[in-house]
Amino acid sequence: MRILVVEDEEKIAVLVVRALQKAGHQVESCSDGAAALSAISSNNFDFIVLDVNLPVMDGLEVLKKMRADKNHTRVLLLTARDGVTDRVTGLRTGADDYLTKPFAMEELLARVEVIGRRAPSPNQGDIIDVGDIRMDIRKHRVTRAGAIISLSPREFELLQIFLQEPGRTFSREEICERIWEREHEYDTRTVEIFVMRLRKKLSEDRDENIIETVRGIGYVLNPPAP
Amino acid sequence: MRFPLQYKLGLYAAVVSAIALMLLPTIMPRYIYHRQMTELDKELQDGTDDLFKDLGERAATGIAPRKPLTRDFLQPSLRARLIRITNRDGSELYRSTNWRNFDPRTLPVGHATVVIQDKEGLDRNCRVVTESKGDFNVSIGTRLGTIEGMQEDLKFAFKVALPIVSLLVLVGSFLVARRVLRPIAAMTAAAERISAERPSERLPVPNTRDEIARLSRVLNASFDRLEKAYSAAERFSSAASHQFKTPLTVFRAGLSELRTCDYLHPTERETVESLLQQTRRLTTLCEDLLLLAKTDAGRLELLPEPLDLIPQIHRAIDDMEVLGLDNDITVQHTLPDTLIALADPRRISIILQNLGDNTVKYNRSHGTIHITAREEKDTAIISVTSTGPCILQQDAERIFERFNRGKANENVKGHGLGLNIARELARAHGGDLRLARSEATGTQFDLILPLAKT
Repeated sequence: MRILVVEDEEKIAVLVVRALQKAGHQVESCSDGAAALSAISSNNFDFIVLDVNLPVMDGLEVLKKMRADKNHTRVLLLTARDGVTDRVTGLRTGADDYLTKPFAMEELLARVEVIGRRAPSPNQGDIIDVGDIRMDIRKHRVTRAGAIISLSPREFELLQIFLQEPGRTFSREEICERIWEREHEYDTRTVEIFVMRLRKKLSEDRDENIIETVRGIGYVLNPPAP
Repeated sequence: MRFPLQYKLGLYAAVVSAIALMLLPTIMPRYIYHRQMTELDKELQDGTDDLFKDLGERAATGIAPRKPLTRDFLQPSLRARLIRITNRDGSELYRSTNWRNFDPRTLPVGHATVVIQDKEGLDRNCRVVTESKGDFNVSIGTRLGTIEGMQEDLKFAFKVALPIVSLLVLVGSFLVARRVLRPIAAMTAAAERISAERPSERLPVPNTRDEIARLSRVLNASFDRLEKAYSAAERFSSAASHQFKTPLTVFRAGLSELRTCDYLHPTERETVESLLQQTRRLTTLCEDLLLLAKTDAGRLELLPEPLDLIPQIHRAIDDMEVLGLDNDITVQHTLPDTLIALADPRRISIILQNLGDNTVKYNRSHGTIHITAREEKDTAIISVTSTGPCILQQDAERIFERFNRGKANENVKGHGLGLNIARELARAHGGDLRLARSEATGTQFDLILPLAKT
């Protein structure tokens, strides 16, 4: 994909650009809102990573102008974690998703992938089917091969993260951040325990490795056969 | 504020005027009495002077000085008076009938007040002047009836006036006070409106140039300074937010990139992993401090919505069970099916996480945690009871202070902001977090949140 990274902090920009290039994308970058707008109007990007806090013109303003010009390029906003209003207005203004700073690079890459290739849509509906596992988010129910699996709230949330992007490796801290509003001191170990419990409940007596540990990185869900 | 100022002012004014009115009747009648007596003495003196003149003229006409006098000899103005005229040798020339049984020979020379009966036989105070001149000795007297009557009238008037005037002063000063204090009531209302949410509002300055106008101006100046301090704190927190987050993001991204490198030795990978974890702890601390800076400035953004607390509580229970595995802590709960509060889901989950962490951290091995939730009036109350160490009465508030980590457990993890943040967030919702009780049988925290109006 052709990606534009708009970030005024040079060090962050360098890291993001490098990571995206490594992932095989064509990346350009600029460091203020006005430059971003002119770059957007003269190029045809597939994706824009847009920081909210920018000099000259802030990210939300850039987004608003873009959408007013009928430019529907996918946009991932980078916001401060406590900036609730930024987030809400960002999504209202037409951002496709947001990521709070400081973010995990894998998560940024994953979001770019997911949002960038919106079709086929990721598992975002009320019912997610992955192999013989079915999750009904509204009814808060999980079945495997028709049999109900009773999960605790956190196990359910954990499984939901895995099922929404099966095959993707999640680091422990990304899991932590997505489940807990504020991380506690025991975090990664807590994730290990929850993964262990979830693994046990999903597999029961089956001889399989449905949630695989990726050494030094995290976990990945191997989609079971349907 | 048990009694409003206007009642107090009215009451004080009434008491002061009552005291003044009580002092007046002890001073004023005496003064008036004294004045009237002086005048009376002068009048009697004038009478004696006239009488001596008449007697001298009579002597000059050659009438035998010893011949008694008749009433006609007296000037008309003297005829109602007590009159006695004697010769130098003591023989009486004239004696008016109104002396009755009083013996005028006992009178001293000069002024005297004596008791003489009237024709009804009642004792009356009378004023008498006795003087000798030439061959004659003269006494002139009159009853003090008018003067005494006036004294009585005065005393009566004061007795009647005292309650009436006090009441009038009470009502009057109450009304005056209310009028004078009206700008203060307006100021109070305005001051209540000035808050962290509306720091630019100011007190009304009345157009009167009096003390109240001056007070308003002085207070407004203070509010100006406060507002400046507030906005400075807010600018600082947002600037700090930006300044901290950038290096943290760089750290994290760099470390996670490093971790995926294939050539890392397992021990090096472990080091990177632990550095990542520390970076994230730093992030949490940074976020906690920013959150507190915002609550202190009253600028915390809340997005309250009707929120069922029960699933949130179940999540917290889930966490507590896992966190408590090492110490074999049992988590029990007695919960209703739903409990809908008006709350911001993200903030509530922080409150419950912090409270849960704290309860697990300060519990004993093989301890228990019991969670209940109920409605009470307009509030939802979540009670978390644990078998932690007993918190002494004097430490009950201290445990909510920042960076406080209980002396009983020196090796407890964390930076000691959890309970403080939980309480600040609960209060931002219009609720509270309290230590309900702490005994040997258990320590109970109550989280109170407003119910959603149905």
